[in-house]
Amino acid sequence: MGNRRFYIQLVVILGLFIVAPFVLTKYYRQFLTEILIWGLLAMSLDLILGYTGIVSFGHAALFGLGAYGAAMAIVKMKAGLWLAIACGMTTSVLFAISVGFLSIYVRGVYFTIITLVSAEIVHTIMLATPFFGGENGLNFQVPPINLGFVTFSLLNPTNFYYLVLFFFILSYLLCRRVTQSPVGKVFQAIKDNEERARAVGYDVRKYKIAAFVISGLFSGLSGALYTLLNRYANPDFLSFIISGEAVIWTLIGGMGTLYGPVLGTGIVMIIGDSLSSWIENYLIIIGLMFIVSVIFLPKGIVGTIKDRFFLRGRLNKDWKDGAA
Amino acid sequence: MQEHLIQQILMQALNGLVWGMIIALVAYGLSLIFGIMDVVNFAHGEFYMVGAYVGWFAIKYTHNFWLGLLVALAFVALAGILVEAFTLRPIRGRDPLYTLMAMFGLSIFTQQLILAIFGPLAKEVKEPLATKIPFFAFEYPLYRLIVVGIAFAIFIFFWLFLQKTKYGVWVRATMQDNVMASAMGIPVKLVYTLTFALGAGIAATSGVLVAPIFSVYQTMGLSIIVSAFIVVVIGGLGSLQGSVVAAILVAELQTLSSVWISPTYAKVFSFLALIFVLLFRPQGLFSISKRR
Repeated sequence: MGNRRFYIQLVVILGLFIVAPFVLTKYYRQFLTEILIWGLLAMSLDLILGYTGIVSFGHAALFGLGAYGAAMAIVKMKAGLWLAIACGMTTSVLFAISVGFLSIYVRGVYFTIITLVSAEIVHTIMLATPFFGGENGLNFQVPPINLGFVTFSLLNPTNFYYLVLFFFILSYLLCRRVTQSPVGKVFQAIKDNEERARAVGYDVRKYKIAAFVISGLFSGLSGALYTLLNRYANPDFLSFIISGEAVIWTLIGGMGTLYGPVLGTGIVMIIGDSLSSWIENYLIIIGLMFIVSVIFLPKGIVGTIKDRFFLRGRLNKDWKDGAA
Repeated sequence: MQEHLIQQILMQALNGLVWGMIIALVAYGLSLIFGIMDVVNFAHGEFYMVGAYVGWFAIKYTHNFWLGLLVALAFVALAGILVEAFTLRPIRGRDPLYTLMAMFGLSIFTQQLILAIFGPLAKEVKEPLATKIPFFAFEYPLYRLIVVGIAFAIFIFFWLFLQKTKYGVWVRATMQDNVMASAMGIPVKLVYTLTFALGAGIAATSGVLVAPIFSVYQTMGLSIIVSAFIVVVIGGLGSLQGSVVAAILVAELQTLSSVWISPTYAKVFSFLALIFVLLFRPQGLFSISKRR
């Protein structure tokens, strides 16, 4: 039953996304594409933040390495689209593996600092090495989508939108599959009580590394798509502002739901976009909004709505049933 | 040639000492707040930055560097009290993730506010003393050595404060076990507020002290915060001596290696040092054991 309801919801939402480009202007088509890309990053972060309980403050590195991997493949190897995306994802995964192994030695807030510092290392190296384009980054011509029998130009924003939508939906289904699999249940057990998960006999470290690497895979994908959209890779992609924003989007949307973080990304970006046309220093308000939402919306938008309209009703009912 | 190199190394070693003390002031506040309140204060660099701006502003109108320093210290400590009361207190007891993110929001807010008020141009502050003292074959600005002296004085003051005063006992007790401290009648909430204000205040002092050496700009907090985090972890949570030693170590690594490699890569060096320390001594070099 629950599954059928999910697929109906999925088809309806997918339908809306497919129709969206016909309704939206060119600017908003591009904007929606960006929301989906950043949403993918927030979703990948949710895998570790919301499901495994690991706080990463270095997802900019995974995102940025995905971007640089794809850009380098195009610039240095004249790679096609698929190869470029694959290179981006591989780079992120390799980095996630190496940072993941460091996590064996440190826990909690120390791991968060390790992720922050390792992201800064990558940022600094990219900034200082001419081979990677240095401060200017890498500019390139974006290769077309090659499906074997037809090719589409990615210079057309609508084509690009559908490419991103394809990867987004695919990633969502994969992430959802992961969270509902036995492995995903172990992730959640680690989040709920790491000691107990270990006592029950799970090799917690292995699962944590796995969660981090899976998250890295999807972060790399979002980075690769972002660099293709912009047709350049820039050290700014690795700035820790991105890491922080990804966590904020996830928190505001609602951790541990996968779609919540995407919603959070969309809402924050739409608010930012509409504020920016009114006020010059709109980031002041965004910063305040972050503080206020952390204080008053600890469960995020999705969590709060669920509590208010579903959980509370059910709890009341249970309580009444119990009383009767 | 050889002589030139030795001179350069000596010069950089001195610079490293100065830069190390600057980082240590920021890192010690961070470490105290971290150790006592369990708050990863991502906005700590902003206190340093705001301190520098307020200092610049006060110096511009009073023409007195030391007065500017005091004004900045007082202003930022007061701001620290407000921040603690309005953002940290409501979310006390929640997962550290929430305080980290609230402070991240505060960091964006503060930077943008300063940008809106003072504009994007960097501000210059004149050195209060133009004297240079001869040091081997070159001259070194006296002011920078005074900075080192002031920083040491602040640390000695803090050490005495923590060891000899009633408030110091409160702080140390709260750091060891806040529930027990509270049961013993220590006003833990007040300790939190004062710790946060003190941490913010010394970061601001550091920002004013550094202003004549570099310039004052909105992202200066970001440029020091990563180094400060590294120092906190290497030095061990809440350890005063650890913060100073680790800060000098990190700063010397950065300045000395920049004799041979570009300063940007030199930064990477100090980051790698952190990873090595964490691998072999995850609790830091001088950690104080904390009962949970």
